Amino acid sequence: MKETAVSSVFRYNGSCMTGRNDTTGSGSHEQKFLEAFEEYGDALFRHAFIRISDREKAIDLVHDTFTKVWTYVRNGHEIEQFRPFLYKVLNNLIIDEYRKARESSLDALLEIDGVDEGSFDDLTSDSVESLAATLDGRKAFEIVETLPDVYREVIVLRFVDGLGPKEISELIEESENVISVRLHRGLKILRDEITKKETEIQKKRESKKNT
Amino acid sequence: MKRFSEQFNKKAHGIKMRASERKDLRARLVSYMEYHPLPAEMRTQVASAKEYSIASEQFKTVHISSLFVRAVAGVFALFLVVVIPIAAERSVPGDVLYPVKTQFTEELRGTLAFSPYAKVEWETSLLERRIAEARLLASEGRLSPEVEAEVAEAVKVHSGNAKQEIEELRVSDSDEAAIAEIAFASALAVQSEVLEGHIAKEKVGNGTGHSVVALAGVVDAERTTAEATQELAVPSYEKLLARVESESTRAYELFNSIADYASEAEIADIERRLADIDRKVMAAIELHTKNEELQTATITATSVVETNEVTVETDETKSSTTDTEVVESSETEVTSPEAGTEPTVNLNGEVNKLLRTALTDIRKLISFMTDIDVRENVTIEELVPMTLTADERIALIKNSLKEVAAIKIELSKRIVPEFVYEKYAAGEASLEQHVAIATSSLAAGDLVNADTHAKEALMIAADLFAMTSAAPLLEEIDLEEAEEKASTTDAAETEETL
Repeated sequence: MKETAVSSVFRYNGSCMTGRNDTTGSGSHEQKFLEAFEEYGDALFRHAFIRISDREKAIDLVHDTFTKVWTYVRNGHEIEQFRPFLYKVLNNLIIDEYRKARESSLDALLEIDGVDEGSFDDLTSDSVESLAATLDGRKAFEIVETLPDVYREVIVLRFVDGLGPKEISELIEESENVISVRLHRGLKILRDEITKKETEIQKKRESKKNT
Repeated sequence: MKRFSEQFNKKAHGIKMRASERKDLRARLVSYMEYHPLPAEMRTQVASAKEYSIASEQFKTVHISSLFVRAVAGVFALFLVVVIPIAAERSVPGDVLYPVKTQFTEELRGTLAFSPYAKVEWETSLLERRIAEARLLASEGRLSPEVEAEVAEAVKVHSGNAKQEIEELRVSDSDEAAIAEIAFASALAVQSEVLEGHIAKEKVGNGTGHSVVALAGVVDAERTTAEATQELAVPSYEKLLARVESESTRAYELFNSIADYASEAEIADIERRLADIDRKVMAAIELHTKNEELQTATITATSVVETNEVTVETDETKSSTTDTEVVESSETEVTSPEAGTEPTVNLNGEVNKLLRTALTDIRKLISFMTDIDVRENVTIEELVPMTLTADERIALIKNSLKEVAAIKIELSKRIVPEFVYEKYAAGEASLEQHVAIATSSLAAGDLVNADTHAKEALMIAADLFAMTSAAPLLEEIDLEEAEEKASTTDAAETEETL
């Protein structure tokens, strides 16, 4: 894995064995910060790009994420774990980005505040899973950018970044139930879209055949 | 869902920053960091590592400045390796550091001697060291019989080692071995002389001259055997000559270096010895050349080859404990070429002897110049007696004869008492004989004979003088008589007395 390259440069002091995800040893703030960049930079970019579908913009967002974090460090705040912190910052930036670009027709769809959670009591991760099992991941990915961001958010966090429901709920400050509902809905939309497309393709084929 | 998840994930991971994008982004971040640096108090901080850590024991390091440690170690090593051996050099048997000297420093130096010749030299120098130590102790009155015996033992051991090395050398290079033998013998001779001198001084001083007597005896014995062996050694002419030449050069260099602060008398003495040695060498070379010529000469010529005589005399020292006297005299006379082969052999032997003597003298001279110990205990005349040139000897002989003549004149003025008259007459006759032979030998160039007879004559003359010394001088009587008698009787009377 590429991210481990930098960590080997920095000296050991003491003999601690470190956890999987985090940088090894302890060094200066600068060092730790840059280590975090090396480790999470790409993942953050990926997330940003899938969310906003604009490469340059995505890079800018990643840049802004890191500079914000650096400012946080400069102000003397200790960052215990970079990863969740980075994601939070990035996520907020993406949301800000969306708020700025509140022009598309997707806005209506985005305003799905106040979801009736009651009617989805029976929605559990099982439901999500069973629904996801019916989907083709590849096709889903291709059309994920058609998803409203509110759903995209959870889907990317869940299936690309590998965050668990609890972590996502902490990140976006919503209950786990809401996360599940959103995931379910998102997947449903994806499924519907895929089906729609396939039907269209079939229709086209048939029409070709006919003519 | 796992399938979906994996598929989805896999596709997603196709999205990543390009290397250039990444690099640029990093650069932007770094410059941002530079523009917004950490506050001072944070810069030296170490960011906490609150990872999932399985902490093992931290090692505590205590910093002793490595510079300090290195410095101390260096000084200690220096002390151990340099200072102590240097201090040990002056030690004598009985001192604490003496073992350091014998078993460490000397052992180490011994291993540096590679060639057998160097080893012989090394054993010789060890021998000299032991003797010097013994003498030092003796002069301070601290030489016990036990230590003296130890030193004597050491002398024997080193002498034995040297001889062994010489034998080993003989296998590979017999000439070198022979030369080594000569060198060894001369070194022992020097040491023997030094010890004699030491004893003599002690006797003069406080009368306790017995302290190194035993040692002197041992050394002398070694010297005798060494010299005997040395006599038998016949190195090749070329090698011997080469060695003589190199040692002479060394001697001259030494001489030049001491010329600045030696007294005039010393300089003159040493110069004289150097010149003597030169003469010997030249004589040897000439002899050798003649020898070569002889071997190729035709037998028809009956010319008498001029003899080359070189007499080497060593004056006996007056020390009572010296009992060896080395007197070498060599003389060759080639009267007819028919006896070609024999003289050739003789010549060879003579050449060899000359060169050997020259080498021995040179080494002794070098010893004298380099070793203050030697100088303090032995005079140069004792060590390297002056060799008289032929001219000098002739002069001496002539001098002797002159003296004889003067005494004769004196004698003529004396009345010979009747009771010794016969003796006197015999003596007179003998005297005349000796003078005659001496004079003729001198004329013929036979310096040895001339010298012998001149000396004899001188002795006899002195005896005659003693015999008649009691008698009143005739001259006085003559004068009295002359005063009484008429002057016409003078001639008759003087005839009578003669």
